[in-house]
Amino acid sequence: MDTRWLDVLAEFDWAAFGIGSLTAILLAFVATGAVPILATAYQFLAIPFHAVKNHYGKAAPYLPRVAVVVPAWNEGLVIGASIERLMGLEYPRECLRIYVVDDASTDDTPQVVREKAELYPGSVVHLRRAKGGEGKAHTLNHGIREILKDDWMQALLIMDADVIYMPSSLRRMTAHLADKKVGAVTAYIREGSHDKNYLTRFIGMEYVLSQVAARRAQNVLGALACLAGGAQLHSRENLITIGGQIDTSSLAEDTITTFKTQLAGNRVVFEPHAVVHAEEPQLINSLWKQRLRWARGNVQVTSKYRRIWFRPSRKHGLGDFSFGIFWFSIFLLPVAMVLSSVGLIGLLLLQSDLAAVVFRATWIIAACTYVYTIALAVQLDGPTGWRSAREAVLFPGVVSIIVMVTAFFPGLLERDLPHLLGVPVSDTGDLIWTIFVYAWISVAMLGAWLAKVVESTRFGRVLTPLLVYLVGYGPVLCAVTVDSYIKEFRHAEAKWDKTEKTGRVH
Amino acid sequence: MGQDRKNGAGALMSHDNMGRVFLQREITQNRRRELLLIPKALLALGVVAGLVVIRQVFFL
Repeated sequence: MDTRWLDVLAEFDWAAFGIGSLTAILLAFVATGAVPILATAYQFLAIPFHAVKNHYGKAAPYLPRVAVVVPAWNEGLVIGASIERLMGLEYPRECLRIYVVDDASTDDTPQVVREKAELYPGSVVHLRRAKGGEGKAHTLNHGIREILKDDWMQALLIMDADVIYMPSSLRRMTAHLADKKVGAVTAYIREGSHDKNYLTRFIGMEYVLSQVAARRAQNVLGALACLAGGAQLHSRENLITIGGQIDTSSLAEDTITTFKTQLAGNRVVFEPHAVVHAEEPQLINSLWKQRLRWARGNVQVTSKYRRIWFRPSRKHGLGDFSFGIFWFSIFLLPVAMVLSSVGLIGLLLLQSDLAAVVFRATWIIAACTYVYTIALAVQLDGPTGWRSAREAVLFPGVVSIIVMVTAFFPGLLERDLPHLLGVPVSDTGDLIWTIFVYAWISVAMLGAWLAKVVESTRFGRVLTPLLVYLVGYGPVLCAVTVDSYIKEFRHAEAKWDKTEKTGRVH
Repeated sequence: MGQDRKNGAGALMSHDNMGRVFLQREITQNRRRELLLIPKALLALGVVAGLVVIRQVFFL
């Protein structure tokens, strides 16, 4: 019997093999944290290409007969102003009809809408559901069924009761429907409340990043993730192609409509110069409720369309590699953040020199991406960028900025600054600081959750904004995503929690 | 320019040929405004490049 292989096995350095394998796994963990950063960089680098690769070449003067469907449940405070602004659109009056679908409101919504219907006969129509509370999609479908009963409507605008359309917005959107390959067009929803606080300024900046910036990139790359729920314009043909109704099976009916449109081979266009103002939450708890609904909707969409991811198609761009990476970079961002921290701390515990190298590399890429995206975004919407300058700079949070500075300018914070202040740094202190910065990306989500918890206490007024500035706005959204995983995993009741609107938008 | 825009917008309310001219001009303007994305992106990249230079000169 040949026993040489036993000798080989006996001489093999299993310890080194184990440590090597573990190191490789931990490096892979850290790499997952870099994927969302690289995806963001790629997306934002695509934005300038919108200068030459856009849909304006195929757009043309086109003023179809537009039916506007407005779902309304207890919108008495805002619906009157919304109708007035719609009637003030720079659009041929004879080509515009507003259908307010009153979802069995219990406030003065019916009276307000009836008054407007009398004021604008034939232009404002009041529809009332006998039984309400089934959610926005059911309410929209009630209106769409009425609208499709005759051939008048050539295009359907779906909006929210509280949003305010700028006078030129609708015609800027309809111009793209002149191209029959375009099934739907969406606009830029800008945070428009007149009494802004720290949170609405953060949201304003988020909308610049996620809409004016990212959706331009999606125009370039050929697939749009979502038609804004408050501003989606469909051609009649597209509406019929996607079934003549809005999906009622999930909390993300706008995303499903967007996917259905593109899967049918119709193009979806984002029009950055069509601006719509919306009122956004001033409290973290309200934001949490709204975003939890969106995030749970995205979990449902990810599962519903599991067969399209990373499967390129000639018909649509949803299966493209780049679109899949963008989608999952957001959907799995909390997972990537935690894995990255685990990888870094694991490498540190293994006393691997690679820990410092990959930490520095990841955070240098993060710092460059952060500076580029913010510097570009504030130029894309000057007024919002100016008003939200502090929130733009502090978008990732004060602590994350310190971590970026640590990585980008080696020695500045851990050596030069303590030396300048005359504070000696011990080895233990250095180790604690290292563990802290490696773990921070995950700890930030706990800080965001804490900001939500303390908001309802008597210290919340001061502590919550302070915590959000410290941990950053991004981690707040990540914490909501984690909450959505938990709620979906537990099959928690998925009900339509309407975000309360009080008419703060102008 | 503002008055011009107002007249054009008024004309399109009546859905006539002047409205078409106005709308076409607006589309062309939007298209031209998109060209500004290139210098804006270059400026943003310039800020990043500035930070990289500071790092290379003073911290390495």
